[in-house]
Amino acid sequence: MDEDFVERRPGDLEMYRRLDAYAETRLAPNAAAMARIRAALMGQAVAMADAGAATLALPLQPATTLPQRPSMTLRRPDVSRWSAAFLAACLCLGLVAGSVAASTAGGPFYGPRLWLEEATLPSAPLPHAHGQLDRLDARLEEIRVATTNANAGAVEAALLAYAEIVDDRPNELIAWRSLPGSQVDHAGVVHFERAPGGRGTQVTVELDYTPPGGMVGATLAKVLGTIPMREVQEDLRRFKQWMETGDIVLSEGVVRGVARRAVGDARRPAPASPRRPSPRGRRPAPGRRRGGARRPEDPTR
Amino acid sequence: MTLDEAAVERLVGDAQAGDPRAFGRLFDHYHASVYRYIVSRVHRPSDAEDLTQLVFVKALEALPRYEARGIPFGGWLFRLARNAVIDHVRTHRDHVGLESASERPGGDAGPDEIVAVRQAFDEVAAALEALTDEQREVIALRFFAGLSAREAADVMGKQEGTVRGLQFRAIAAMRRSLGIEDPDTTVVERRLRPTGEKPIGPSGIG
Repeated sequence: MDEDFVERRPGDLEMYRRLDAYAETRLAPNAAAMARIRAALMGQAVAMADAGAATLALPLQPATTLPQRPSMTLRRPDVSRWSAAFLAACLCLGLVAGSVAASTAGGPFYGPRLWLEEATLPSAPLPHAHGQLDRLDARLEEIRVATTNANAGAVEAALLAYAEIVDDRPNELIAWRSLPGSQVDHAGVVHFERAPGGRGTQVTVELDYTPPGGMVGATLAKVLGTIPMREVQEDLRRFKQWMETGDIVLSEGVVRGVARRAVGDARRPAPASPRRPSPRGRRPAPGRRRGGARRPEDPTR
Repeated sequence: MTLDEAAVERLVGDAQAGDPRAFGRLFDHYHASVYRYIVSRVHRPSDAEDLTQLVFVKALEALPRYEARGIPFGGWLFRLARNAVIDHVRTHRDHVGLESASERPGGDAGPDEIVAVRQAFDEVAAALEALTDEQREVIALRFFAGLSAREAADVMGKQEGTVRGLQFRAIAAMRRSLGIEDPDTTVVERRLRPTGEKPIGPSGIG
């Protein structure tokens, strides 16, 4: 430090003197504490020195009795390590291949595999139904493969599994899915649930489809009024009437305040008197009649 | 205890070879400067004692792996101390002023003298507190630990010129805080100032 002070200005010397006095007075270590620290350190140093001496003494004894084979002693752990890794990889591969083979139709692991598929299905109704449909497809594929291989046991097992899925929840749902290559790829599920208070059965239809032509096709269908969900709603309404009355009443349906064109216009009964139909099949709003002619009452309403 | 650099290196070699007494002599040589550096940074004597022990324990454990490589043993030791201080400051946010450091005035000083010395040291502590962190570290390494500018630069990981600049600015700032005038500066300014112009600032008065 002294060699650096030569270049300082004389005004700094007073500052240095104060700092040195400050360090000597306020920052001085406690001698007792330092002695305690030194004793602890020396104890640790002696222990480390003893341990180091013991470590150094160990390799000297076998060196005098055993022949020096550095190459062998270095390579042997590498070879055994690689061999162990190779054997472990082969074992894992064999286990996986054996498990896959055993989990095919008719195999010993086929039952656990079906149980695992069932246990991992999603709980939500629609994804659950889709998962079941995928399982049906898988069973059909297994039946096809087993038939090709003339494996009667596998065919029987796959058929049993298929029947188990189909009869999985009777009186609860009916699901379907379009075959590959169909014009419109779609899948649907019909749920049957008991209505509250024993007031009938609540039927819910879930439809998933891919319109031909993508977004353009969907827009075009919307413009032309051939939206599948509307058709489904109309079909549901007619199904309800058929179940309740034994017949389908052919009339226009109004869903959510939107006038719609009825599907069964061709089967509409002829009106009592010839009349000119309202444009686009719309029913005039109450109190707004055209041409002063009173519209005949629909007997079904 | 005074040791030159060659003697320190010999002790380090002996300690690496497993001689506990050599490490004890290294402790005797460095413990006061290490403690002063640490206590000036953490302020609390009890913490400084613990950290001092920690630094030497780390040094003892890492000594077999120590290689000089251009950094002397003192610089390596103070790097350990600096890292220990940084870790301590990170984990202990409670701040203790420099005034709380232990004070051991001379035994034959009177009450008035003790009060005056204590006041002077309080002023130095306040001036240290007003410095930036880097300036304060340079002061601690250079004046309290007694390292050279190069050793301090090695410890801080900076250039030697940077450390000298930090020290210059720190000393100037402390001098201003403590009201220590610099007669040389006054002379230089008198020479450069044009005739009839009034002096600017406290150093130019008179």
